[in-house]
Amino acid sequence: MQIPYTVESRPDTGVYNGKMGIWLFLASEVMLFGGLFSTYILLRTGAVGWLEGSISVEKGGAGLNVPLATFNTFVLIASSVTIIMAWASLAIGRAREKEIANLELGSEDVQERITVSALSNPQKIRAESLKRFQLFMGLTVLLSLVFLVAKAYEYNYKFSHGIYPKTHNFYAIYFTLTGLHALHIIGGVLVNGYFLLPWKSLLTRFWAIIYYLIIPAALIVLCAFLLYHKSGIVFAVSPIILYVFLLLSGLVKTFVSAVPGCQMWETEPDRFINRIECAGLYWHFVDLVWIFLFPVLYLLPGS
Amino acid sequence: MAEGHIHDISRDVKKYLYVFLALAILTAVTVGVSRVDLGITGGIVVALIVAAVKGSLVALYFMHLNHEKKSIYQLLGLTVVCFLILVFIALGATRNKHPYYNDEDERRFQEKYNESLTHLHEPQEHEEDHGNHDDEHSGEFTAPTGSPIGAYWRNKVFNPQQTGDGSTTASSGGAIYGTSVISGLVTFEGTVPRMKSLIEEMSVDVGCYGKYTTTEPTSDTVVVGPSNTLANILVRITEGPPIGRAYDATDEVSAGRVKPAILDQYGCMYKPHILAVMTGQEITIKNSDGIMHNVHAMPDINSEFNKAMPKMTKKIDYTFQEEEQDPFPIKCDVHPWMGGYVSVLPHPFFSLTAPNGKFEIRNLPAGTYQIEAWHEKLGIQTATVTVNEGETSTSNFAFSRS
Repeated sequence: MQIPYTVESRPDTGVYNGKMGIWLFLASEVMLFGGLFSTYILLRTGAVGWLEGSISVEKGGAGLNVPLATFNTFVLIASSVTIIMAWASLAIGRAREKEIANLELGSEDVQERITVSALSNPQKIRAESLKRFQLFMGLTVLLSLVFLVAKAYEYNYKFSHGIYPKTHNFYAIYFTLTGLHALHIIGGVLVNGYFLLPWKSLLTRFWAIIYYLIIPAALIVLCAFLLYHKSGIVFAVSPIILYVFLLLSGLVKTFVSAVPGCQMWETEPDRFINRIECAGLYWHFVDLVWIFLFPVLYLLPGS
Repeated sequence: MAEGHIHDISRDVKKYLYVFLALAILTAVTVGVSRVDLGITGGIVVALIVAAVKGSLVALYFMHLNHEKKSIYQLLGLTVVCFLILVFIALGATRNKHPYYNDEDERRFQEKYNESLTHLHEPQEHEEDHGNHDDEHSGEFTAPTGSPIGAYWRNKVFNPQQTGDGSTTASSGGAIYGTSVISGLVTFEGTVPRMKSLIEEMSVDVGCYGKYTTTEPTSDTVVVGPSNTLANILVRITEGPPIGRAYDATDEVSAGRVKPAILDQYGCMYKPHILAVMTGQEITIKNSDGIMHNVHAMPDINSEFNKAMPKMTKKIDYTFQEEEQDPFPIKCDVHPWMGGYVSVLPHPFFSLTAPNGKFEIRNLPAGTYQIEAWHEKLGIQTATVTVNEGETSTSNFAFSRS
């Protein structure tokens, strides 16, 4: 099955399908968070009094941890930069690769061609840009995890001090908004983590161990157990039949080949660049939401 | 972008770093500015403008919206419109509108009003219908009594000239004050319940538990004094000569017949737990705790009332304009255990028991009275008392956990 317009632009939209898809998704996300921001406004204007995030609970505020949230803001902004650098390293590598290819075809200067191909052959460029990509993507995932740890500390502090969503409408909307945002961060970590590593070969090795060592060993133990207890021979052997069926049907192989991770860079580099661009768009959106959440919850004065 | 030239992308990379710097600086700015007091509107506006600038930087440079295809712009244009609709729905909703004031209330109110007007033109019918014997020969027309809205219109529509000095020019038909007294003792029968300790709930806020250094804070639902006397019982007259007559709160307070109404918040409890006031009497709500409270009153007839009292707000004044048949609860949404009751009565003939269980209703004209003793949990007891001019009648109540 061939998915259309993964690399080239679709004529009527002018963009590849993935980009249109992620923007449609982000548009729906705008409405999701928009509804919650709207809820915030309604709760705030409807309330006679509203808590100020930065003032401690003892002094009548909400007692939110502004320094930690400021730190988290820097972390998210930095992760936005690292993910776009991850994309740029791939794009630059790919452009250079193409340039060399064009150079080799069109150049009359033999000496130059030799120099270029000696200094940078396409395979080398591709491998190097993947290394750079993995560095930046790894940083992005790391920064996301830092954000989550800080967030978990914040939540834990609130809960251990008896502050729950039910405590005040302020906390209700605070936990809803930041909780939903944290879920988005977790989603981003999963997707970015998927693009970070060569999952196909990792899984191949992983599944190889499971399928050719662990499962047969477990089945042998099971069969021995069943035979020892004098169950019927067909019943005892049936798990082995099932196992052989699974192995032959190639379900495992299909699954493994469907999750290339960063190995797509080797097979379909342009498509992989587009994937990273879409992941980046999502991640920038998560950053953008936080850019609004931070002042709205932590900095706005109470009333 | 993906098919861009190396030099374009390299130039963009430099741009990303500048944007990162700008975002970091703007974050520092918005945190710094939030420490400066710009007022509520100023603070919100500045914070949102900085956030909008930061958001635009991310959208334009990181999300490449500075050069994107038309189809994406169209999609985002639609999204922005929908988002703004969501925000403006919220901004436009419920400001200056009472959430519980609906068409049904409006209709009932109008009905009462029309009814009152009918009585104005046809006094005979009014007398037959409502047979208020004190008003029968008065020559003045009063709206139906017994209904709070009626009481409201009685003051506002029928006796507009009386506003401010209702006590002196009240309708005739006997004196509105006398020298008789109804007093008594309220006791609790049976095993005195142990009140729940609040120390654990209060432990969330030093502003609460910090006030209790020698005693343990307990729930003030049932307060039993020495020798099983019961505090916080509201005793009031429900029938008798003064009912249906007009009394003015300001006069009653200045004449000392009604105590000034002060509701304090101390140690995250309402002091007093039960507050009885007259219609139109000014209530001083104090915040001695110096922490965030809010006073949320849930009356049946008057408008719901919800005022935040941040630490710096030491005192607010409020007045309930309409009579309430039953005491209504007040609570603090910040501290769920904080609860109290307010009773709004059209006359000054009520009394609250102290922990010694004693009540005393003074200045009554002679006559036969129905009196009611009310407790929020233990229920209502009534008694009929006849008192002669200048004398004191005694009526005792005994409550129990039934």
